[in-house]
Amino acid sequence: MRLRSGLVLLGVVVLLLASRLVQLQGLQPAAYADIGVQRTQDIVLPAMRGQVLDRNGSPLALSVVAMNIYAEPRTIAKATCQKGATAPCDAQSIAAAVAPLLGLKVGTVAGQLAANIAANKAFLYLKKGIDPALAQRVMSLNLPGIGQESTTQRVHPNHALAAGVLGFTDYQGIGRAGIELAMQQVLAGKDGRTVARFDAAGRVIPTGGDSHVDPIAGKSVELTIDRDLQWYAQQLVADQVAATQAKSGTAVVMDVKTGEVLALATAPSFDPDNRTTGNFTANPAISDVYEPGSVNKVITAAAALQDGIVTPQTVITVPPTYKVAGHVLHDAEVHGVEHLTFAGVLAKSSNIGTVKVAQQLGADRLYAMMRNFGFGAQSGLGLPGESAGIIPKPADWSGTSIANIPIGQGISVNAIQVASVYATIANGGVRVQPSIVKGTRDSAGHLTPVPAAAQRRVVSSAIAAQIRAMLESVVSEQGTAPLAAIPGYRVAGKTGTAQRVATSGPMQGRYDGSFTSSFIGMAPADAPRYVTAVVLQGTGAKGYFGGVVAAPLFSKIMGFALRSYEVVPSGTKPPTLRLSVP
Amino acid sequence: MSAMTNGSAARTLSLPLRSPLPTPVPKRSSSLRLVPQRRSSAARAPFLVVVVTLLVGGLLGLLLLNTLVAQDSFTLHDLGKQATSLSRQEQELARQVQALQAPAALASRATALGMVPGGPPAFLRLSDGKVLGQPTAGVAPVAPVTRPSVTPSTTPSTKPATTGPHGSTTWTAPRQSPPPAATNTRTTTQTGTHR
Repeated sequence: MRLRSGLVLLGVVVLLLASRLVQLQGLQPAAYADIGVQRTQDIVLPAMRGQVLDRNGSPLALSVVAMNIYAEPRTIAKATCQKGATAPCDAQSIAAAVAPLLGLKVGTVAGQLAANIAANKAFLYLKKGIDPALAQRVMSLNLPGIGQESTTQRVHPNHALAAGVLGFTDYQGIGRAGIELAMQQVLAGKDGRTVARFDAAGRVIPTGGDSHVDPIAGKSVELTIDRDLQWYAQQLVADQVAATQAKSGTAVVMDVKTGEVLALATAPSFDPDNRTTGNFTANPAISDVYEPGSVNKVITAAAALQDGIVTPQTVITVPPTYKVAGHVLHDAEVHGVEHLTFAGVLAKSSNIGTVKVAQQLGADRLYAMMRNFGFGAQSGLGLPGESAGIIPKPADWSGTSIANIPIGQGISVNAIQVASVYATIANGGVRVQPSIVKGTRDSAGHLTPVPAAAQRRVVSSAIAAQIRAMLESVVSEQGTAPLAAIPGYRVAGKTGTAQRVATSGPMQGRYDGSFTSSFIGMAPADAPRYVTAVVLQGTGAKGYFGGVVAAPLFSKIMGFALRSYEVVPSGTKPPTLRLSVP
Repeated sequence: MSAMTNGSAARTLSLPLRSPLPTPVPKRSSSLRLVPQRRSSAARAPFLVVVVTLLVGGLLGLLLLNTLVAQDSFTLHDLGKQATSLSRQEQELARQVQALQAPAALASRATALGMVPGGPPAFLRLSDGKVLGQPTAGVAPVAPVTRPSVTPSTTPSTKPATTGPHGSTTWTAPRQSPPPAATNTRTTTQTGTHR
């Protein structure tokens, strides 16, 4: 009897459980599954993007937590005002409360809310990327239908500083230009994920059986850029572009021994925190190729010295004009028949003298030397969007090419390539591949340097020294760029003034009457530490000679670099080379 | 063919094995009798107590454990919120410091204080006491040109309030008289911008 009643009891319990099961799984499964899903969340844990640092570890670009403030128009539509309510309770009063905090106009926000309520929209961003503290103030108002979501934002404490190098990230935080694009894999890290269950208050239930993968933060990228030098160079270039009404300007400072780029300043620039208009992806230092003009004479000189065609003291007769394949060649200044030494040809930047030497040299050897110095190939800097420039093969040379290419016309190069040529001369004839990334830093701050830059000998150290000596006379009173001098230091360099081919507009692909004005030099000339290249594009409105518009900038930027790095003044006098014979 | 024959053989074989019906068991109820139960209530009480204690203790223990875990979870939640708040505060302060450290901010502040960029420094060589270089006093740059490119232009909400007047980072002539001329034996740079 007892056994039977026990069985009946058991049966009733089983029946109860079964009917509950049917109720849960059979009658309203969707509703309960929904509740379950709401309580269980698959959360992506975004990996913090690495920073971009300057060579001293100062952040140039970093990610911070920011908040987006959104509105839920449907929720706001449901909110009703009680009689005598003081707290915001309808679209108008909510807008009035939230707009001033977000720096928006009350009318605009109210209008937005009204329009979205009318359209029965569920969601609307009011403001993206605001400071968390500010978001906290908004949330503390307890407004119905106003919420916040966490996001990360890329900020640049120095604003436009090195913007062309850094590039920018898109709305998803993915690098789209510059270092942000080139180092995307390193900077991005790896997102983590977690499955968590929450209680009604939104707290994680500790015994929920979570699966959890930690995010791996992105590594930081340390650049070779010196923030202070970069800022100074950027200021000066921007000023000079404005003062000469040039189209754009670039200044590159490079360490001679390591090939590290200490500053890569371009103007016009942009503020990556506030991109609204303009062409942001361009970094003219690497994407703009131009005819280098006279700065290419150094390569002609290196080839001629290497092949023993001339020595710095070889006398070259320079007529007022010179005809090559029907093309009449002039020098920048009108002169009679001159007897210049080869050093004088370089110092006075004589086109005719250079072409006469180049004719003896021939196309093949000049082409080989240009390629050897790195022209016609990407510099190896590693920034996206670099143009390799164009160096025509000797087979493609026309009859007048030998009158153009030795003096830097009919070829195109970028500013980094040119700086690298002079860094090679400064480094005793050994070309060190330019670099702008020093290494990556993990979260513990440990630096993993990039592999050592590739090196190759281009000319002998003796020839490099001869060229340096000749380039020192350029900066003398007899040369083309006395304004490039830096008090206390010996300076060697070369001016460049070339007609410019328009890169856009109706004159695209043709000489548009403007100029490329440049000065590239090294200091101290007796033991070079740095090379600085200053290139102004589209000059002509207010001065265009490289020795006039670019050389003073060189003097200031190089002077700043020498002082910053505590380079001891030369203490010796430059060699006095004979530039001309009577 | 062979399988069929095997199967039929098995069937025929199995029949005699299954065929015997269970022979009726003779009723022997009269001979089996329940053994009288031994009532030993004295031994039962402690056992019950132990079981109930274990049950109640286990339940209470579980409850306690769960409560503790939940309690810790609440604490964790609260502390997590506090940590988030503090890290945001730290982030905000770090941003302010970075903004103040920016070369543009330093330069404008220095200019406002009447400082000018340094001139060429001199170096004192310790080995022979020789002064290298010609020290000159810094002069204020003329030509105040506006620098739109490096002048920050963030929205007011994201810009820390303490970064100062960003819109006016032009070199202006110092308000005060220039600092005294540099001495002859400086061994460090005057700019003070390189660390």
